[in-house]
Amino acid sequence: MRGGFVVAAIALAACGGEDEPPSTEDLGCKTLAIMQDKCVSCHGAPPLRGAPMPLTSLAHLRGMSAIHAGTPVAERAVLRMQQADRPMPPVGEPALADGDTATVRAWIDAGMPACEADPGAPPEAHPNQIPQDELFACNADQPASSPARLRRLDRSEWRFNLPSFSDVNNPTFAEVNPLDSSASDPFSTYSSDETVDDLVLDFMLEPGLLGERIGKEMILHANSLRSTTPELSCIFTDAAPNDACMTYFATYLLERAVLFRPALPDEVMRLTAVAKTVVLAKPLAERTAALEQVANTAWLTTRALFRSEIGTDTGDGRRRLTDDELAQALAYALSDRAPGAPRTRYRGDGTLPYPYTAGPEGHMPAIAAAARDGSIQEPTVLDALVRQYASGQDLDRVDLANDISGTLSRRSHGEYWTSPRISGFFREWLGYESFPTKFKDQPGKTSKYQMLTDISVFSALTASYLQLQTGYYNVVDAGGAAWKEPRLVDQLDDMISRIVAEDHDVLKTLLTTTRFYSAATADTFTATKATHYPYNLDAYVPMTRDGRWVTLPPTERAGVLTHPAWLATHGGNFDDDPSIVHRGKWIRENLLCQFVPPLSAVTVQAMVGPSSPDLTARERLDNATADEVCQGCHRLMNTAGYPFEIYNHAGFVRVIDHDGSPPNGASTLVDMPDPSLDGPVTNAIDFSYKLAASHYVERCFIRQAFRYYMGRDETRADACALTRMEAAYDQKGSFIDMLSALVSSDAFRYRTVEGN
Amino acid sequence: MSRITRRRLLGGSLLAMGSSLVAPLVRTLWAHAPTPQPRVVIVIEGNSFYTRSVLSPLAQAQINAMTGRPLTTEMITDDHYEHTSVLEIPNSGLASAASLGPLATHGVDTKAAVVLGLSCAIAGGGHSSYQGGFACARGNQAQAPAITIDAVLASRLHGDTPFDALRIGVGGVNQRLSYSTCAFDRGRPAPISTSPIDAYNRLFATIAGGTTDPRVQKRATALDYARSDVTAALAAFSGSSRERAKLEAYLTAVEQSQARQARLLALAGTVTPPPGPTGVAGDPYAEPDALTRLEVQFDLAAAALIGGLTNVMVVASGPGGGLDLNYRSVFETIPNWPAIQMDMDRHTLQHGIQIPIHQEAILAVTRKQIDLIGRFAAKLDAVPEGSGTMLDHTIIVFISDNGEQHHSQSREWPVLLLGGSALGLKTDGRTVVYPRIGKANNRQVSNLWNTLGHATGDDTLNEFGQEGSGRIAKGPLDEIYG
Repeated sequence: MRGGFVVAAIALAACGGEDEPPSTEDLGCKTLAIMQDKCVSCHGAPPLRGAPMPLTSLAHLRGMSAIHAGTPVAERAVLRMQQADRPMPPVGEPALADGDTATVRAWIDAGMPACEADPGAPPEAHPNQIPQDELFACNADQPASSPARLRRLDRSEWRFNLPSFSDVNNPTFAEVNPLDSSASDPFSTYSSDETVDDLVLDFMLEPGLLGERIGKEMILHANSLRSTTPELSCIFTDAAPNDACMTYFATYLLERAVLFRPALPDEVMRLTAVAKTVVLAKPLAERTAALEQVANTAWLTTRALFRSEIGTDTGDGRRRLTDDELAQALAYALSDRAPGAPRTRYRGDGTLPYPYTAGPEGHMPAIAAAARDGSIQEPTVLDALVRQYASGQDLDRVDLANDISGTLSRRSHGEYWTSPRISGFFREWLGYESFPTKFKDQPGKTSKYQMLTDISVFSALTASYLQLQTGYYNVVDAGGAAWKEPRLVDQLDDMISRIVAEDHDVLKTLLTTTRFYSAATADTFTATKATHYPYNLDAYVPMTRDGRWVTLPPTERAGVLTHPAWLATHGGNFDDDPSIVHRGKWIRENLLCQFVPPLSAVTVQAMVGPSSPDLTARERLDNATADEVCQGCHRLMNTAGYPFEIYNHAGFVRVIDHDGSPPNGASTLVDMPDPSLDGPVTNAIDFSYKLAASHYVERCFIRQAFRYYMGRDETRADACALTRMEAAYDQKGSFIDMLSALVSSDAFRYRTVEGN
Repeated sequence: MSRITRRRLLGGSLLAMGSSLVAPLVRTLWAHAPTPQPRVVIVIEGNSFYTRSVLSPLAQAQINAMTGRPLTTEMITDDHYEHTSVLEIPNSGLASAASLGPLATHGVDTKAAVVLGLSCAIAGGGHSSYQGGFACARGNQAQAPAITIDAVLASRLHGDTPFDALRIGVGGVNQRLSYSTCAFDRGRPAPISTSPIDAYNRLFATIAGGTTDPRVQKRATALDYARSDVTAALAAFSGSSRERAKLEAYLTAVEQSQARQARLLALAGTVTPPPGPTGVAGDPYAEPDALTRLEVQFDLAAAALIGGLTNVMVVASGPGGGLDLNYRSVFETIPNWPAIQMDMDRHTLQHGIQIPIHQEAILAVTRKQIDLIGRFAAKLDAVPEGSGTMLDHTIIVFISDNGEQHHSQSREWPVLLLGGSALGLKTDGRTVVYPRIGKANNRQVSNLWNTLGHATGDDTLNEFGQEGSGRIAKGPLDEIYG
C-alpha cells in the first residue's frame, strides 16, 4: 500500500496542469494515478481480497483479460467503473472522483499512451495470470531453452532407485524418507530450492536408511550380479583386494547404484579411498558389513543426490543437455527411476525364487543404452523411447510389483498400465492422490444409501468407504484365495490408464467417459459389499477383470470430474459443507487456467454459517458470499462448483439435498475464459461435456502437462514448446504424441544459465 | 520461499562450532550464573484437549457467576464466557480439574496456570490447523504458511547447544516423521520425529557410544567423504548462483553435522543417556500404545533438556491431524470399556464425544498426558539452577494444534502453563479466563506467543503472526506475565 501511494504521488507530479488540455502522456499519468489511488489496495501485486489481477502499472491495463478473452483489461476496467450493480471500486471503498472514468476512457481512445513514472509490470506471480493466447504465440526466431538447474532427488525417486532384496513383503522400506518436495510447489516434479540441509541429512543417516539398511540392500543386489559381472567377485572373496578390485567396486557403486551414468575420475578416486580404508580395516569375515558401509557412503555423493541439468555450451548462448543429462531427464519424465536403476525382487505368485522387476541391466535399459551411444539426442530416438516406456497392456502388471504384494492382487487391477510419471501427472493434476487423507462424515448421506450410514461409525458402508481409502481389505474367492481389491485411487488410476493406453481423444474421453473401473464385491466379507455404492451400483461386481469394468448410466456420470475419488478429494467433510468452493476453485485453476486469489490473500473471515437441517450447502454458501467483497472470488468458484451438487461430499449420487429438497446442479456460468462456455448448465454431466468440447480447456490441459513434465511454470518464452505440444495433440488427441513433442522440444533439451 | 545462502546458514553455527569443546564448561558455569538460559517446551495435543479437562470447580463457579448460562458438565465451554473483562482466579484449585490431578501428584500444581478463552480464528479449524496455530496464520495441509513460534524461539535461544530445537512426539505406529505442525519458514516445514527409536538415536547414540562406537565411526567416515565430494563438486560447478546455493547448503549441512557430532562426543562425560531401545518384545520404544511411546519421548526430552542438548523443544502427540493413535493403556483403566474396542483410534474416540464413556476416556487420555507433563516438570524442578530450579527457568506450554474440539472452529485454545516463574510467568496456580471470541477483551494465541518472546528476552515480539487487522491486541498477556 505504502509503495502505491508513493507511485501515485510521483504520477500526479508528472501530470500537466489541470487547466490545459491533457497531453497523451498526461492521460497516461492521470490514469496511472487513478489506478494507484483507487485500485491497488486490492489490485496489488499480488492481488488481495478477491481481486483477480494486479493493476499497478499501465501495462496491466493494456494486457488482455484472462477472463474475457480478446478484451483489454482497460476496457473491462471502464465497464466495471460504470457498472451500477457491481461497481468498481466496490461499495464501501473510496469512490471515484468525477471525471475519473472519462479520463481512463480518453486514455484508451488515445491509444493507451505511457507515463514516465509508470513502474512497469512485474512478472506475473502465477502462470495463470498470463493470458493464454500469449503462451501459444510461437516466435520461432527466438531459440528456446529452460533455466539450467540442479534437481535434488525427491522422496519417490530415491526410494525407487534403491534395490530391495531382503524383504519382499516390505518393498517400501524407504518410502518414508526426508527428501520431500517443497510443499509450496504445485507439482512434486518442481525443483525450486530443495537441497540437503542439516535436518534432511540427519534423517538420511538414520539406521533405517543410510545408517544401515540401504547398504545392506545394495550389497545384496551387487552379490546377485556376480554371475553376470564376475569383476565384482573379488571384493567379496579376496582377503586383501587389490587396487583394481577396489576401483572396480567403487566404480560399480557410483555408476550402477547411485549416479546411473559414467563416473568422473575424481569421483571414483574419492570413493575408492573410502573403500580401501573401510575394507582393509576389517577381516574377511566382516567383509559384507564393510561393503555395506561403503555402499551407504556412496549415496552421499553430491551428484547422486543432485541431478544435473546444466548442459554444455552450444555457442548460441544456450547449453545443450549432455547425453547423460538428457537420458536422466527423459527417464524421470517417464518414471521415478533413473535409467538403469536396480531391479527389485517381488513375491510374484509365491514360488521361489522370487522374480525380478527388470533384467540385470536394470530399469529402462534402452534409455541408458541410448545415452551410451549418443543416439539419445536424435528426436526419432527420443520419440521411440517415450513410446516404449509410456504405457501399454500387460495382464501381469509387473509395474505394480513394488506397491501390491502378490500376483493375485495385481490381477485385481485393470490390465492397462502407464508409466509412473504419467499416472503421477494425472494423480497430481486431478489431485485425487490425497483422497485417502480426506475425512468424510457419513459418506452416503443424501444418497440412496443414506440409511446405511446413520449414526454408527461401524456401519458396513462407512467401513467399506474407509477400506476404499486405505485398501485394507481382502476378497476371498470360492477356492479360498485372498487378495486386495484396488482402492478408489487405484480404480481411477486404472480408468485413466486405459484412456491413455488407447490414446485417442484423451482429454475428451477423460471428461465424458462412462466406463469406470470398480472393485469386486462378490465375496464373503460383509464389509466389502458396499465398495461399489459410491458408483451407485446396486449389483455386486464380479471378481473378473472384465467384470470390474463397469459402464455407468450417462445420466449419472461423465468422466473424471464425476468420479467419486475426484469428487471426494475436492469435497468437504460433511454433506452440507461448501464442496462447491473446492470443486469450483479446482475447475477454474486447473481446467480453465484462471487465477483465483489464494486464501492467504483473503482478509475477511471466509467461513460459512452454522449447519442447519433447513439449509443446503448451496444456501449456506450463497448466504455467506453474497457480499460484493466475497463475490470477487466466489463468483468464479461458486458458479463452477454448483453443477457438482448432484453429488454429495463423498461423491455419491444424491437423491435428496440436505434439507430434503431435490438435488440442484444448475448453474449459470459466468466469466469463463472461453465465451462459448458462458451460460446455463443443468449439472456436472452437462458441464463436463461443455468443458470437453472447449479448445481453451485443451490448451489449459497442455499447460498443466508442461508444468508437470518440465518441473516449472510455463512462460511466454515457452510458446514454441506449447504450440508444438498442441499441434501434436491435435492430430488425434494423443497424450503420448503430446509428451513426445515436449521431450524433443528445445525447452526440454536446452538450458540457459540464469544471469548469463 | 526465501533463498538459501551459505552465509545465512553458517551465521550462527560457526560460532557454535568454535565453542564446542568448552560446552561442558559453559553448562557448568550456567548452573552458577545469575541468569540461566531460558528454555521453552511446547507440548502439543494434535487433535484438541477439552476445556473440561483443565477447568477447576472454583474457576467454573467464577464463570457461572458472570453468565446467564451456567456451566454444568460441558466438554466445550467457551460459549459461556460472556464477561467482558478478564476473569482472574488466583489459587484456583487446579488439581481438582478433571485431568489436572497429576499436577499435585508430582508437586507442580503450584507452579502452573490455566489460560482459557484464547482464540485463533485465523488458523482455521477442523481436525488440525497444521502450522496455523503456531504461526498464527491460515493453516492448510499443503503448505506451511509461515515460521512457527518454536522456530522463532530456537533461532534466539539455542546458545551453544548441539540442537537449535528438538521436535519429537508420537504419531501412528509406522509414522516416523510429521511435517505438519512446525515450520522454519513459509513452505518449509520442520519435521517432528515421531519414532522414539529415531529420537534416541539422534540424541543419545553418539553420547552413549563414544568415539569407539561403530555407528559413530561410520558416520564420521561418511561425513568426511561427503565433505570432500561436495567441495569438489562446488569447485567444478558452472551453473547459476541460485543453483550453486543448493550445493553450498549441502556442504553447510555436512559441516553442521560434523560439528554436532563433535559436540555430542564432548558431552559424553557430562550427560547420562536414558535407557535405549532394546528391540525385544515389550520394548516401550515400539509399543503400539501411543501414550507408552509418548512417555518414552518425555523421558528423552527430560534427559536432553537437563543434559543441555537444546533449549527449545516440541513434544507432540498425534500432530497434524494424525488420528490413528491408540490408547489401549487408558482404555484398560476405564471400567466397562468394551473389550472389542480396545484398539479404537483417536478419531473414532473423538467422534463419539456425545457418549459418556467416550468423554470419560478422552478426559483420561488428557489426564495421562498431564501426568507425563507433570513428571517431566518435576524432573526439571529437582535440578537447582540460579536462585531456583531448572523448571523456574523453563516455560512448559500444553496446547492443542486445532483448538476447542475434534472438528474445531479455532474459537478457543485452552492452555496449561508450567514453570517459568523466574522468567516472569505468573504460574502460581491461577486460572485466567478471557472473554469469548467476539467479546471485548478477548485475546488471541498470538498474545501467548508474544508472552513467550517477552519472557525469554525479546520484548520486541508484540505482533507475532499474520493476523493483521484481525489482531485484537499487541504484546504479551498481562494476566500471566509481568
